[in-house]
This record gives sequence, structure tokens and C-alpha cells, in this order.
Amino acid sequence: MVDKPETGHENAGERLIEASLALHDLKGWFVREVLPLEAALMQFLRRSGRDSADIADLRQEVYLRVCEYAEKEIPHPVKPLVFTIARNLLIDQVRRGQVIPIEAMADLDAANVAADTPGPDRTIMAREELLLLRGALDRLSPRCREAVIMRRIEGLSRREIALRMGITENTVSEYIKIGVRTLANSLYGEPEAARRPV
Amino acid sequence: MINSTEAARHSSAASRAEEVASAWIEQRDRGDWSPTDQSQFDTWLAQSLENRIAYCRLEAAWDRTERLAALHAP
Repeated sequence: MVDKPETGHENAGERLIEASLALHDLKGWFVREVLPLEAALMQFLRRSGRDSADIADLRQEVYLRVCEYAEKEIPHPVKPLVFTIARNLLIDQVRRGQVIPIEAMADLDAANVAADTPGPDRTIMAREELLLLRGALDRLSPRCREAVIMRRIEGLSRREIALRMGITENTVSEYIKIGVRTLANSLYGEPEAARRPV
Repeated sequence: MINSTEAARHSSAASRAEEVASAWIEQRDRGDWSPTDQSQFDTWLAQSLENRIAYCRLEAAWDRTERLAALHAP
């Protein structure tokens, strides 16, 4: 699956073109159809009682399998596929002896039913979106939030942010990187109620 | 980037892909993006579907924060 960049130039070039096309095609579909399901998917996966690193791996594995499927044929609708893949991943782990709590298994159906409500991202209004964004911003650590606000809202350069905050440019980069990941987890992975301003 | 066994133990495959993806987003957003950067970025994207998924997800969230500028508008 991993293409090795050290192979022939022509092939590498072709692969790059394919990959960028794949990124373009993938992104529109994935962001529109799959990401709005993330809060329900995370809720479903968390009931397995795994720690957060395992949950993140499971989420990534679900996305990988869904996108591998979508590269051949776009699933309509995608939601049943997402939850079938998630359920099968959990069941596979049980079979391999990585036991999960019985009540978590019993909750799988309940989670699936709960996931049948439409993703909030499709219906929220612009004002609601701003509330969600502000809620996600509120969940960053104070220094991280400061850096993200300066970069994203005030449009300051990395150097200007470093000067204002009295930190190195590399530390600014670290805050931005953590901010990007934390914002994604808040905006996509948390239930709607937890996404509003604190 | 992982410099201790403790960090390695808690660092999942997903979080490693996301860590690199967030570094690319930060770098693209910095304003000194070069053709060399673009080429390295393209190579990384081409390496795996997992990389492309991690990047799409984080970029989508980062793009949404553009709207936050409206809260800041005078």
C-alpha cells in the first residue's frame, strides 16, 4: 500500500498525479459525507471501553476501509457502511482475545440507532457554526488558543506571533499543530452538546 | 518527534499520521511555502491513503476556522 518514492521518476510522477486527484475527489466526498458521522462513530467506539489512543486508531482504520471502498465505488448511503465496518473491527478484536465489556457489546445496537439521526453539520446555520467554532476554540489551552487566534483571526505571521507571545517561532508552530488537531477532534469527534461554548 | 517510551506507548498509528498532517498544514499556512515543500508534501500524500485521510480531516477543520474572523470583525 505504501508507495516507495525511490522507484522510477515517471512512475512516481504518475502516482503523484493520481494521488492529488484522489485527494481532490476524496476530500469533497469525505468531508461532506463521512466527517459529519464522526461524533456518532466516536460515541460508538468509546462504548467499547478502549483508551483514547486505541479509539483514534479504530477511527482511522474505519476511515481507511471506508475510503478504500469508496475508491472503487462511492457507497450510497455511507452511514451503514461506516457502522458495519466499525462493528466488524470491534468483533474482530473480541475474536482475537482482546475482550471488551459485555455491556459495551450490548450497546452496539443502541449506538447504531442513535447514529441514525442526521449529522448536525448538514443542517446547522451559519450562526450555529460560529457557536460551534467558538466552543471548539474555548477548548484549546490558553496559550494554544492565543496562537491560533493570532494566526487564524488576526492573520499575523509566525514571527509576529512569536514576538507578541515572547516565545520561539518553533513553539508557535507547535501550538498551531496542536490547535489544528484539537479543533478537528472538537468539531468532528464530540457530541453536539459538548461542542458549544463553555 | 516521539522522544520517550511513554510517549511511544501512548502514540497510536492514527496520531502519528495526524501529527505529520498537522505539521504540513502549519507549514502551508506559514506563508513561506516553496516548490521543494510542495514536492515533499506531494510525496507524503502519495505514500498512503491514511496520510491523505488524516490531511483531509485536519484541513477541513482548519478551513472552517476561517469563519472565526467574523467574530473578530470590528
